[in-house]
Amino acid sequence: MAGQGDCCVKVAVRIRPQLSKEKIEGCHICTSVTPGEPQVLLGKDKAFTYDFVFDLDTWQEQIYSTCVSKLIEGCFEGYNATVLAYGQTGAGKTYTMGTGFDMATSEEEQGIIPRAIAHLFGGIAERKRRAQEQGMAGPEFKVSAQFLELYNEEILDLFDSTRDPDARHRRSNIKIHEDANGGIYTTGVTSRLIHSQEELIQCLKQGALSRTTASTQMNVQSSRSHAIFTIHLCQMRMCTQPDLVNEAVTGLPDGTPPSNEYETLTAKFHFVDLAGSERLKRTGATGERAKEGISINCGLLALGNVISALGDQSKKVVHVPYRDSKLTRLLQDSLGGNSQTIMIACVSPSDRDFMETLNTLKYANRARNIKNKVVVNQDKTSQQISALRAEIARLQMELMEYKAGKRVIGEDGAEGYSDLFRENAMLQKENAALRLRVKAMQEAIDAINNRVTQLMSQEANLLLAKAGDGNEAIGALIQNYIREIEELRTKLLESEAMNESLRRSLSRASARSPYSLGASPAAPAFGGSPASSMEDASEVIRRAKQDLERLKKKEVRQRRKSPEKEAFKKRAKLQQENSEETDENEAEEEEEERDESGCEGEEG
Amino acid sequence: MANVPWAEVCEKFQAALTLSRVELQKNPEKEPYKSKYSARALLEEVKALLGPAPEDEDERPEAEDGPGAGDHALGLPAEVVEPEGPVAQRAVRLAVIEFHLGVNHIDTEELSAGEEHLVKCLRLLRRYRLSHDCISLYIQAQNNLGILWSEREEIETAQAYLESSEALYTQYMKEVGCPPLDPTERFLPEEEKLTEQERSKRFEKVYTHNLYYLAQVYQHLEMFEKAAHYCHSTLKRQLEHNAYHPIEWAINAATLSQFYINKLCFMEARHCLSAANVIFGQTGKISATEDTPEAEGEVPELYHQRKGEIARCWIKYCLTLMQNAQLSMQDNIGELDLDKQSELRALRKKELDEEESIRKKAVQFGTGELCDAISAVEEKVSYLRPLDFEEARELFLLGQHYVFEAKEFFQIDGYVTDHIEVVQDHSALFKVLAFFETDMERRCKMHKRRIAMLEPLTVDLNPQYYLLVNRQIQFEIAHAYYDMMDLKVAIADRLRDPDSHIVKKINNLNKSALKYYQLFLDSLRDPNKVFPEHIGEDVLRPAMLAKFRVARLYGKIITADPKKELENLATSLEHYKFIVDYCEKHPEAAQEIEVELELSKEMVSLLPTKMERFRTKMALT
Repeated sequence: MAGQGDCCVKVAVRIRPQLSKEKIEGCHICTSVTPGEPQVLLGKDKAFTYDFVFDLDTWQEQIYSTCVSKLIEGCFEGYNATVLAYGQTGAGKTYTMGTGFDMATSEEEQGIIPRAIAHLFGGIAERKRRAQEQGMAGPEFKVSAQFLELYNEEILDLFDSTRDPDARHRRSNIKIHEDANGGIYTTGVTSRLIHSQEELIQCLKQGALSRTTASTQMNVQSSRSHAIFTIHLCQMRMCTQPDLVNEAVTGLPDGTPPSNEYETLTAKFHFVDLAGSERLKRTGATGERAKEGISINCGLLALGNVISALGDQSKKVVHVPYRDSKLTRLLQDSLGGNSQTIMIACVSPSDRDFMETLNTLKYANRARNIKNKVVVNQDKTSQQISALRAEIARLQMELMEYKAGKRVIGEDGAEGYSDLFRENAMLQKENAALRLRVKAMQEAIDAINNRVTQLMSQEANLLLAKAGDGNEAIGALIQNYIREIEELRTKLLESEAMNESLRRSLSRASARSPYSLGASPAAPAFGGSPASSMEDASEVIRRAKQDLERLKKKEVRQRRKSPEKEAFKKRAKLQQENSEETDENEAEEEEEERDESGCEGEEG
Repeated sequence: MANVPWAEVCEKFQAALTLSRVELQKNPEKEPYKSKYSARALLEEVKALLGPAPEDEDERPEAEDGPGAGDHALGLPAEVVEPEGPVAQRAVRLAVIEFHLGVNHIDTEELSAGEEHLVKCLRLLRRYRLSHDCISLYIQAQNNLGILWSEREEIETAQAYLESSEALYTQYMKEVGCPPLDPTERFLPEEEKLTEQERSKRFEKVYTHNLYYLAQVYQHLEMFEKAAHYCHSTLKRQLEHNAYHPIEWAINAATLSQFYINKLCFMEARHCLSAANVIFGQTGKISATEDTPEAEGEVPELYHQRKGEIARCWIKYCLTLMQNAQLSMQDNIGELDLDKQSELRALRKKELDEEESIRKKAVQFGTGELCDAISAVEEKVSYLRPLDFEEARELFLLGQHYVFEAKEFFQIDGYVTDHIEVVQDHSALFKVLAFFETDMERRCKMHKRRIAMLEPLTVDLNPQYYLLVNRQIQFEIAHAYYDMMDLKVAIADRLRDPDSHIVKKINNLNKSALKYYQLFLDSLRDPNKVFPEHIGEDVLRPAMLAKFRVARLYGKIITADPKKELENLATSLEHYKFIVDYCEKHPEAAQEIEVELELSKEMVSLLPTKMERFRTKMALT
């Protein structure tokens, strides 16, 4: 059916055979058709390509079936169609269109219009018969016809026989009206209701006759006027095929039950005989010669055309008032949209008509470019595109995160970070805490070593001062204690550092929002090591106490032997105080730990 | 000479002229040139009576036949030589006859013979061509040769003749200036000779035609700017010599403005349009005095139609000027670029300084009162690109004024297509005004206005007959909804906590945009409601864009229901996939939508994983 995409005008070129007169006068053929291509070569170097090209020997039937037949079929589905004929007189236009009405015309020589009419009525009969066979109510058809002539932007009704001859000179009151619902229609035009093929042909003949006489009376060369023969086809049929329902025309919603539902389809078929380019120069207006169609218009009346043509070259965003507006308007709903338009350009092959043929071919070539395009504004897409680009980048990022396993969908359906990721984060935290501790320990060790060295030297001095005193056992013991004290001191410093770092992380954690991931892994980091260090400490204390006991006994034993014991006792006491202090610290630490875990609990 | 009855010569010549002016349609059908042939016979007789051409032909420095003659004439040291003495007089008379014979032959499609006569005419007159006796005839002969060569499609030759005519006119007016004799006077009795005024009028008309032919020659040579310049000059001369029909003239000037608009010559365009307004305004006065009862019924219709057409030309002026400003001030995402704006502001001063020199170069219509009247119209409109909202608003209001004026004639009932075009322009005016508006809420309202004027149109239009128009409107409405949605999203982003109300609004706009894109896409379906395998070239890009935007819109629907969101994602994916698949099957489509295709491909690869996650998420809940 009517292809949606090809709403442009299709162009066919027909080259008529040479007349015997031309042959006798020795005219040469100056056209040639490229075999297998719709291309005409005029002379040696002027090539034109069209949709169809019919060479000298093409039969009428072939032209009809190739170009026009499917347009009539389209009419039965409610699509408008237009056949435009163009070409110089004597190029076979009348023969091709079949409006000559010679008595002697045989069936195979019939032109497009008689064939189309026969096809139309044949189609009507066929559809009625088919419906009858299927036992359904047949479709109703109403055919009517109009025949108009357009001359100098004035419309004449060729069917209006009642008009008195004087009135012809006056402007007609025919108006072209464009309606939102039905497209173009004309008011004040006689529309004949047609019942048969013969009647329609008769009407056409009558109109053609009326055209000639009207032209003579108006002193108009017929080639300067356009003739438009229009067949309206109105069809009422049952909606048996909902897929073919044309909602537009019927206004019925899709899928209505087939019973008793009628749809109305209307279609227009225009046959347009376009004013040709030839002999236009002969119809000069007085004073100035009005040559048209050739390179230079002589009459200033055509200045408007010249100016409008200036705009054609550039982008068409502007408004160019139409010149040939009536014809354009009449055919407006048939050019573009769902309708199909074919232009048949008729040319003569003889070299005598070279210029006319060239002009016709050029004109036809221009017609091919008539295209109704959907004009959509495309600006601002850049904004949307940049927005989409950003979205894509975001998606890609997310995708990468998933691929790396960072993000998962949690059990509760909420998108979140995977356990693995959490664990990783925890371990990393712990690692950091340990690193911190190592650093603190290192510092403690350094401090202790300093102290040890100091003490050692003190002790050495002391020992040296008491030189000669042979109490080796006590010396060794003291040395041991000193070492142990140092160890404890180290531990204490370590714990203090630990404590400090914990305090810091706690304050950081509470500053953050409760579900911040940072806080939770921090707590377990202290779970292992501080506890074990605490055990270590109590073990040391326990041993220290034991040793102390032992020492006390020894002291009792040795009190009488040496006065230095007093000094030692003091020192041991000091040590005990120290270890008690450590205990307190540990307790504090524990308390903080509980706070931390409390936070974690809230989070969970 | 003396023995030739002068009266007889004159009589025959006048008869020939009358015959050649007979309207061709009055000839019998089989002999369309009968009157021309009779005229020719008479002219030949006159020529015989006048005797052979003067001997001084030998004096010619060289053969000057053919196309070179025109060029050559320019090169000669031209001085004014009056044809004095009987020999010269006879030569001039013969030249007149040759000229008429030449024109006669051209009229009867005998180009070669016509050319011969005209060249002979030029040859006879060459020495005296700048004289007040011969200049007009010489120019006319050259003009006709120009036409002749243009018919042979040798435009350059035609151009040479016509340019030579133009140069001769300029030289004559500079050196002599008095109104020259009209060629027809040569064979008129003394008492019937023309007045100075009539002579001047005829001569000026010859020159006007000369310019007009040059305009066409330049057009054929695709020198459109020159062609426009000559059209412009022709219009100017029509005004100067009062040889114009106001409506026709006004519409021509308005049409010319459209050429200038395309060339972004807004000052010239404004001048043409202002002149069109002023001259069109004369129509009322003239028809009031000239009482033509018969015309009463229909002249108003044409009058109103033309008025509407001129208004539409004005609309395009405002629209293009604003759009041009937008183009020069927008950044890569179509928003106002402040740097560019201030750059243009700085440039503005320079533009204003140059104004005078540009104005001097341009062809100005009218003198005195008329000129003042035109300037008065011009002053109300800027020809400079609007740089801010205030300036844009001025243009917008003017454009809107003409929209209302155009709509008065182009009503929906009767002029559907034209009416819709006007409404679309109105919508476009709002759209470009929105670019200049900084307040997002107000911008939103402008788009809303656009939708409000476009939406009712689609309801009434028969989708079959107005398929293309419908598609355009659907696309535009969809786009306007999309724009509104984007704006609302931006507004919501700025809010601290967007409430459900604005979310609902965004979704509604999304839905409406989707609806109209879908309507557009549905219009591509064939009668059996099947989407075509192959999309026509003319709708390919729009169709793909619509698909792309539909895909995007589905992805942008805000919903709390994961099931719905998954559905939307799936639909979005489907549309992106369509684009990618289609371009795979029809590689020619890919180049039409390069960027969109690239993005669609990305989305097709990304969306399934996103959806997979969604599914997992949903399975867990």
